[in-house]
Amino acid sequence: MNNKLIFIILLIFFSCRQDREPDKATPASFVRLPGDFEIYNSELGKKSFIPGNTGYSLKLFTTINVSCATCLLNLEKWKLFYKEATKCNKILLVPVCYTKDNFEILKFLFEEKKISGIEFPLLLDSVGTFTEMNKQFGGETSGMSVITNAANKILFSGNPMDSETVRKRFLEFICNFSAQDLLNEN
Amino acid sequence: MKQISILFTISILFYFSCKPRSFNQTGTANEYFTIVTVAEETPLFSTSNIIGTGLLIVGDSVLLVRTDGINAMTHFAGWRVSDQQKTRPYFSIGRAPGKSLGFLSYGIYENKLWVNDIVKNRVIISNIAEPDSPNVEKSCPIFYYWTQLQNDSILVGSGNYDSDYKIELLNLHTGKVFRQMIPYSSVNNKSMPREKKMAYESFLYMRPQNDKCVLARRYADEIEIVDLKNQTAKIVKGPEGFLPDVMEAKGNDGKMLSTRNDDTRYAFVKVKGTNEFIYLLYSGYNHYSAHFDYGNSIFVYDWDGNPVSKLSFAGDVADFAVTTDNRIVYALRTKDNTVTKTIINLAK
Repeated sequence: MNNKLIFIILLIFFSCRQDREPDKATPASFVRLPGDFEIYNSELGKKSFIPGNTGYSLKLFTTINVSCATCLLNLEKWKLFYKEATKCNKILLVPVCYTKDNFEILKFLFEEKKISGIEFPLLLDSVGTFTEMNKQFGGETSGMSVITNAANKILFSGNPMDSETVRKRFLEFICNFSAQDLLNEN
Repeated sequence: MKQISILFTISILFYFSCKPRSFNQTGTANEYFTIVTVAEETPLFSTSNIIGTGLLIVGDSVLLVRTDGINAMTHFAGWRVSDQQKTRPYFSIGRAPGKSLGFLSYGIYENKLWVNDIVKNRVIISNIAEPDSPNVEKSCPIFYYWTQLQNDSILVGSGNYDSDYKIELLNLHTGKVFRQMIPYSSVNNKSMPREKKMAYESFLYMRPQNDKCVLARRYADEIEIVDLKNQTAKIVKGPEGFLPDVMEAKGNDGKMLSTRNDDTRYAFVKVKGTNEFIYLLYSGYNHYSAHFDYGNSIFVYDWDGNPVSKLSFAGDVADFAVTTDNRIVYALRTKDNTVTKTIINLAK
């Protein structure tokens, strides 16, 4: 009898359990920036981005593996996304890049102009400090991205490069975000 | 008694009809590999903290282990065969001239070590005998899945899926293709789609005397021996004779490609050779296997495609190297980071 009861309880438990939706706002938490990191984009120059004082009401943080030329295709995808997003709102994209090759491939491709037209800075996280400090990203390979306000408070999260639906929802959130939302957030 | 005999006969019949056959019986090469040798390996040296992904031999005297490029500052570490002492490392990792970022194919010609850097689009050559001479870079503007070098000037490439030919010869001074051979078969008078070509993606190995090369398929159990002078080719089936089981998809660049599905198996994963024989490391594993690009059998053919011998290892090896006299096989074992030595005595 007891076994049957446990079985029914387990059945109810698992039937009611829902997988975490990746594309909805997470409980209030903040993105924390490491104290020491390199900002890179040879096209923009280093002065283009001062963490914590950007003047942007919205920021989008994501992690990108830049250890192989193929992985860097994600940068191209973000380039297109950023063009669409900045058409409807002012937002700063901050890809946090990680690799174990001292960013040699990334820098080579920039220097050779094989990567161009990137209008946002890259945060080079050489020892994985960023993902260590920000567990909500689920590690370097997760592809998790978050939209924050100016104070780095997380407003929305998901993986827009893996799913067209999530990508659309990210764009909708960015485009519909208004000054009033900003007041409400604060 | 009669009933027992009948039962016994039926049992025997069932046993042999159901017993899995270790060798394919439909004209594949395995049935011709009558000489099967079990490798009697002796450990030669430990690569210690270096995680090897490939093995090369230079002049029968130095073994080069390709590092994983992550936990090392160089792409290659070397050991002398004679006393198992380390040599200087080769190919620093980096974007500066003479250094290398990443490559698929690499090899040795005339005691020179070369890599085809697919990020830089350059072939980089290191003169092992002259440590002070700087590495030389030469432009290779075309992507090939696998390449070999005939000499300082000529690259032989396979796996340019925008080409209608399986083999192309490229002049490294001009960066131009000057000869194409062995066309992919056309379909309804149209070029074979690139995804179909990719299904037969192959490793390429050049016979040291430069008159022939072999294409060893990754997903099909067959090899193709190409006579570079006559520009002819001969396809030889492998031990099991399976065809590619891959699916088609659109790549990030919008071009069609073939990619692995749940049932994709790897065939040959490494190919080496001497002037007498072709040596092929065979996987046979599904691509979800932990070490799909390892193998425990080396199949040996002569350069006319005749099966010669099969060398069986106790457990998987990641790569191997063969001496020019066909007497010794060195194997790279990543399980315990060692290089082992096996006497094979295949000399003709």
